Amino acid sequence: MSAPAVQFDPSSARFGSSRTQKRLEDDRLLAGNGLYSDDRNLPNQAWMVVVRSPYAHARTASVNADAARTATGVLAVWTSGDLSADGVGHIPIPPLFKRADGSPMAAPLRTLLADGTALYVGHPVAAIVAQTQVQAQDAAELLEIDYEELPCVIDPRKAILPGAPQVSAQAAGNISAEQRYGDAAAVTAAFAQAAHVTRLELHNQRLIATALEPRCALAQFEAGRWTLYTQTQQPTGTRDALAAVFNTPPQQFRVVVGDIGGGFGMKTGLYPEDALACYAARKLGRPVKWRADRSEEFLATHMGRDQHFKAELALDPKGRILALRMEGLANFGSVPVGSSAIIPLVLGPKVQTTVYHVPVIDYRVRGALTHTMATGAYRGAGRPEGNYLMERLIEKAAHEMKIDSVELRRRNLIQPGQFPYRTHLGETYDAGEFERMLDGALAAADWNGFAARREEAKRRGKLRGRGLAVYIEWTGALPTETVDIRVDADGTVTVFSGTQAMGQGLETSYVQLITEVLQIPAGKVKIVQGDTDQANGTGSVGSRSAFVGGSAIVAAGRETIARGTELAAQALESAATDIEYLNGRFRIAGTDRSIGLAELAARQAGRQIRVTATETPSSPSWPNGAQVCELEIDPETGEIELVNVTSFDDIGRIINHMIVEGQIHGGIAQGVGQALYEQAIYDAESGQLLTGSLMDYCVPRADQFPQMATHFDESVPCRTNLLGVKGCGEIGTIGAVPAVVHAVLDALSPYGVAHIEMPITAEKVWRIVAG
Amino acid sequence: MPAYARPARLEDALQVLKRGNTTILAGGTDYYPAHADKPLREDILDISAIRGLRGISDGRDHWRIGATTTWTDLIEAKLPPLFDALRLAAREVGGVQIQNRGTVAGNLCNASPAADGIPPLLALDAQVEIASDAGSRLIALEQFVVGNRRTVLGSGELATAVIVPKPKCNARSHFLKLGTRKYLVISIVMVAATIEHAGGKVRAARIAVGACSPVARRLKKLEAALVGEQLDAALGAKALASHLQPLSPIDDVRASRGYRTEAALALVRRTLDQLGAIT
Repeated sequence: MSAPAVQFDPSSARFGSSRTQKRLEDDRLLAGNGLYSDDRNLPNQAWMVVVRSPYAHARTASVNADAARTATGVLAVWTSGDLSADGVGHIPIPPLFKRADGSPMAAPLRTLLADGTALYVGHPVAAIVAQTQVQAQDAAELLEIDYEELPCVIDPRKAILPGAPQVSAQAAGNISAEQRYGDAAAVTAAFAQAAHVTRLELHNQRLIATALEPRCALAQFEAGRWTLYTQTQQPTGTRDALAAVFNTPPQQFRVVVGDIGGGFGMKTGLYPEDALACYAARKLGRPVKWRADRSEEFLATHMGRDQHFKAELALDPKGRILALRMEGLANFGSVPVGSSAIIPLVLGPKVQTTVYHVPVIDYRVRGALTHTMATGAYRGAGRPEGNYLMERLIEKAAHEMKIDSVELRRRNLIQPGQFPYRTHLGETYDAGEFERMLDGALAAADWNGFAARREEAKRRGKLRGRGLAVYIEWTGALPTETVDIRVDADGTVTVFSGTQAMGQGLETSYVQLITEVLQIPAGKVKIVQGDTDQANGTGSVGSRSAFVGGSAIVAAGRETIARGTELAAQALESAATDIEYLNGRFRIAGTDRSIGLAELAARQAGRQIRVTATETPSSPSWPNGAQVCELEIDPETGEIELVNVTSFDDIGRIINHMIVEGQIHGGIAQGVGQALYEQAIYDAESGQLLTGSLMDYCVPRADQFPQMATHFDESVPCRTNLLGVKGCGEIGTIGAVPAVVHAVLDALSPYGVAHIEMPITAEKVWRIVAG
Repeated sequence: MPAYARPARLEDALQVLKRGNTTILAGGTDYYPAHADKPLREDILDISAIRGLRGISDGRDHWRIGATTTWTDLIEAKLPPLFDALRLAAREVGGVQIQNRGTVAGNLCNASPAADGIPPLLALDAQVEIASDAGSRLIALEQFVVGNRRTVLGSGELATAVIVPKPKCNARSHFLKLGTRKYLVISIVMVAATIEHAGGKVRAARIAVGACSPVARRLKKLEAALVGEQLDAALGAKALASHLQPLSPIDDVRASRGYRTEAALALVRRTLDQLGAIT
């Protein structure tokens, strides 16, 4: 029997009640008392290093491991042939997509080690295990690999041209998959009626997540069963992928995750190094540890974005949108993972028409293979790309049609009377007050007082600009979570959740929810995550933890009271209907006969009460909002200084105000990073990663950010889940990218520039100013 | 097994150096990142225990900055406006933790084209004091750094101090840096300038640009052109593109040659304007 779809329950709306509660995990995390994978060591553990291809495309003609094998301390040297001889498979990717001719998505198999041909710089070619890390590193230098270098292609626009070097024999023309949406004929008809057509080509550049904590895996094989200590946002998914690689039931694996030093989507799914450590632990019969150095983190963790768009927007004489025609070209990298394809082919299109009424769309998106690291999830995952394109189009249309850009947005926003609103891409928005968010942001940022600030900046020799973005997010991927609750005889309430904390404050939010349902002190609550022997679920992706995981916690709390009521009725020899629950005690209404939760647990077999609850929100949610950015440009050097960023968001009900503000701030910071600073650059000829360190890849720092003003409107609760929450993890990033770019373009308006590609470095600005 | 020596006396350090093939370690802020996670393969001479090498002293005609003086020591020292450029540069070396460990002389010996300390010290006409078992000598900083990560220091030699001569007139200095972000990043352009002045006129000028050539360079034609000019907020206008002729900026992922050249000129002008505007 499938669980009934959950609807918003107004009596849940008080949970958290937007209270500001200091994060329970901060004392531990800020004082260095966290427990990360690299903090763990096991007796008798050996160390693994991964030898990676120095070439973007090369046949590994021969590997001579004699010297490495006999080096001091070396226990084993493996290449892909050794793994397949032992029956080790590849990491599967979901068979969701097709090519234009109907054949399945084509891509090289994700083997743990390159299978005869290395396909990107950093592709694992061999694994070496030794008694110590230093011995393994030394042995890596002794491994003689005879590479036969082959031509490579880095830019997806070049990869799909005839004659380009091919990544995979299965993917002719380097096209891995293709998806079409909308109605081409209707769009052609609409364009024929257009008074104006705005055209734009743009690139969402490739980004590197740069989590503070490098990836690390520690594997142990005992009594026929593996334990893998690693960092993943999806412990259960990681376990299941391991089972597929080793062709065993998932129960053969226990995946344990402690604290995570930043995920941002990059720590989803299974990485080859995790599986290699498991292979090594079984093969050698002792624990094996691997830890990436910073350079490996740059080369070989999933990167973000890298999508090219070509779009045309048709408008009527009043600036009302008639149709959108667009083509997307996503760079999957050479050995794509599931999210390489899901993000551009599904997640981006979900929000492509954003907050505007776009009657018809013709959308074709293709995924290309290139000799680069795979792209995957990175904060926003498809939604920043889609929103950025739509906002750039509407802003450009306003300039071309000489209509105020705020006014043009108003003319096209979906109005409150249109909900539930079905987009031409087939998504249904349950609710939204888009214009109220727009007005809120404009007022909070004193949009109308800008002229005086621009004048004042001009007297200081600075070019001041303001930028606006209105946007929507989609959250709630895979909308089911199961939560178990155990009440012990000492009154401890343990909550088991398959979602995964990675610094976003889930422990605090969950404790707030459960203490309010059960009306017990926070000190009595323990949250257990990150152990597939104790809790399973989809994990923490797509801003779903509070929305789906939080709803499941409240449901499990209520189930605890329901079960407790039955047990209390037996204990107090009363009818369950006469039992009321208050502040941790069950009482026969109107009497002084009562029993506490702990005492009730103590009376049960096993001295505990255990319940389970599964929640399935009825549909995704649609957080939305508006952001305004003001900044100043130094015309002589092109340097940009952010002056302020103001956000006004509808993310539904807020559980903990301080945590939500922090999520928005962090999201904005990563959006600003994309707009102004960050880009992964591969050399077009050699395929070498030129931005392979923090010296070359510019991650912004705190001193580059102004105060951010975050505002929220909680009056539009999300009706698709118990709590009325919508999700807040990614919306800051989605809004900041277009708001910042628009502010730069506005500051540069005297120079008549129609578009600048990100990141907008000082040099790009200076080139425009210098003419 | 490599040897590790941490003597307390300079003479002992020079004896260690005499044996050859020894890497000198002071703050370690360049050494450790370059050797992270790798075992030690060469002999190390750690000079951080030699007390006489640390600190700034005021001599009759010069200041002496000992070799193990850290950037934080320098920031906190009471020094005249002549040192403003060096102090500003010190505040932008890495972050505070780096400033607490890294040394001024180490920055010169590491000789990165983007070393923050070199342009201000060039603009101070600094000299480097070098000691060896055979005695000690002074060499102008301009001659000390000879290329990308190359100095004239010979085997057996140790830089013991940086000597800054006292100027003849009142002097002030200033430093500006352009990078993709403020801290912990390799500079695109750095400019340091010292102006000696009297009676509202420039009497002498020293201007150095870093990160635009393998070794930071003085702009001597510009320095000559400034002598006798009025000291005011329009001083920068005297700087011309032709004055940048000693520079040879590179093209890389951080910035193009053209941008570095233009940004260098803008920063030189701004540095001079700001020096001229101080009343």
